[in-house]
Amino acid sequence: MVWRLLLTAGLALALTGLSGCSSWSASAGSEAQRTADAIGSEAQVMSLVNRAAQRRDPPTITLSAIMSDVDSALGDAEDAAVGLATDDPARPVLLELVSDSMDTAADLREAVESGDRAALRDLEPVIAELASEAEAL
Amino acid sequence: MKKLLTLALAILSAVGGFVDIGDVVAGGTIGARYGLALLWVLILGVIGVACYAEMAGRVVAVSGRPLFDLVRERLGPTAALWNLLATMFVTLLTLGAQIGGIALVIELASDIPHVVWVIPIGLVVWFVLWRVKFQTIESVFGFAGLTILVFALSIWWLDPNWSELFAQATRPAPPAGEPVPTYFYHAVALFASAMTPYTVLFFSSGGVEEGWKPSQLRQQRLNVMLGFPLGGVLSLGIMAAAAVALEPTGMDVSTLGQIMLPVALAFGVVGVAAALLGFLGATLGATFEAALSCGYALGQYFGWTWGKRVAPERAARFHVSLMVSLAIAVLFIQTGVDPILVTEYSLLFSAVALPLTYLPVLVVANDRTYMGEHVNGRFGNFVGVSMLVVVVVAAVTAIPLMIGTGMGA
Repeated sequence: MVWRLLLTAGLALALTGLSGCSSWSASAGSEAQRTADAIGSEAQVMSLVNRAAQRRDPPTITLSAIMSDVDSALGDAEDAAVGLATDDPARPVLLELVSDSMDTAADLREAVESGDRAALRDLEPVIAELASEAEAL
Repeated sequence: MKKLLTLALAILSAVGGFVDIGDVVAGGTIGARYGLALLWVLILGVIGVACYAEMAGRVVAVSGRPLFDLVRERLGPTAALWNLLATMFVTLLTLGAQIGGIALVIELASDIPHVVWVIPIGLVVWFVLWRVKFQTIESVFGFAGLTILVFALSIWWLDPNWSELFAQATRPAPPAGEPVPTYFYHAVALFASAMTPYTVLFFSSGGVEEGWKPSQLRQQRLNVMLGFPLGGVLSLGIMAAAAVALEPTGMDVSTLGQIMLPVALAFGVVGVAAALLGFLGATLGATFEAALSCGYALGQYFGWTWGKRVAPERAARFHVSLMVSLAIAVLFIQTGVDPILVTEYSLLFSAVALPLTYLPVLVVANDRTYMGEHVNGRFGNFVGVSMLVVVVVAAVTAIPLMIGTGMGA
């Protein structure tokens, strides 16, 4: 009896949750959307790396390794943007965004490795702007 | 005192046996995407693996024979051969994922690309397998793995919104806007990360190597009931830290470095060093277990003399099979394939193979011919059968979900 009640309650809870506000679609958007999401995600990584690098005792080597992953992911995003149809209006916007992100990533890596706090602070609004632009796409 | 120490070491082994690169990746990616909304799956996985490890341990203690040996005798050579092939495929893939995981940990500590480290890691693992004692391997790496607790500690430093975390944990559904199939894809991966097939195979074979007896059943049960949940707490720590630091940013976790960010933010270089040590301990321990499991599975199926404790000249085929398994995994990762991707595939294929591992354990644990008075009780069978239903659902849905969601994209 107790088990039946628990099972019914669990099922009801799950169904309420699932039907409330989630999509049953397996698709994750268009290629352009996925590329914008990927750039936005890397911008968020850069933001966290920047915060961690401003600590008194930053894990510089690990943050530098994480920046290598960011470079690689932005390279993949660039390839994806280049691969979009030339008449896709998102293509030039994404190419510019990825190019700006790559430049910022290079500046961030340099600031992380040299421990230049002033440069790190200056990069905060730049990274936030990149994240906002990616989210807006 | 000696008994307490033995118990502590055994629990440590179970903790180390639970956490591996699959748990780290699944915990980090899922925490960053869903917060704690998949906590219920982790709890199910811990219950499942503890239940079946207890059964497998009891089978070994009572019969004195390894699992694969009994599976072959009970189900016949053909069914057992399918079991062997599936287990070998998944365990080799898992072994590759663990080696890749070790290489990634060293990359994060050195900023030198992981592919440089793969062959040296293979050589070190082979040397340790060859020369170092079973208990030493288990204890040292289990102990190192405990430093993963730094993730759980980081949560307090990151000043989370506790009510939000509680709300996520008690609402077993995807967040708004998240596709349901993707949520279930990640649920299957997380479940498989807890119930990895090699865990039970290694646990039971280790029991034979250590000569478990029916008189030790209580202690063995205690190891399982404390060790696996403690391992689950380590995984939960990784998931919760990601939920606090990464989920609000909306980032998509795809590298091991990103999983480290919460501890980097909370504790700086000291926290990162502890986390890296923990990951190294967990992945190295899992590498040994997966490599030994390959040898155990082959040795037990073909009836060779097998065992880490048996001198190599007396168990040559077993030791050669360890070496060959290790070489295959090393060469696979050396091709430059992304270890995180290998981990994700290993979890999915583990999910598919789960019934082949767990059904025979349930069958043998219910067979009075082998088990006598230690046959499964009603409660054990209730939990075992319930978990088997979940295992079968996970196995059947894994591949369709993988294809339908584009690997959870």
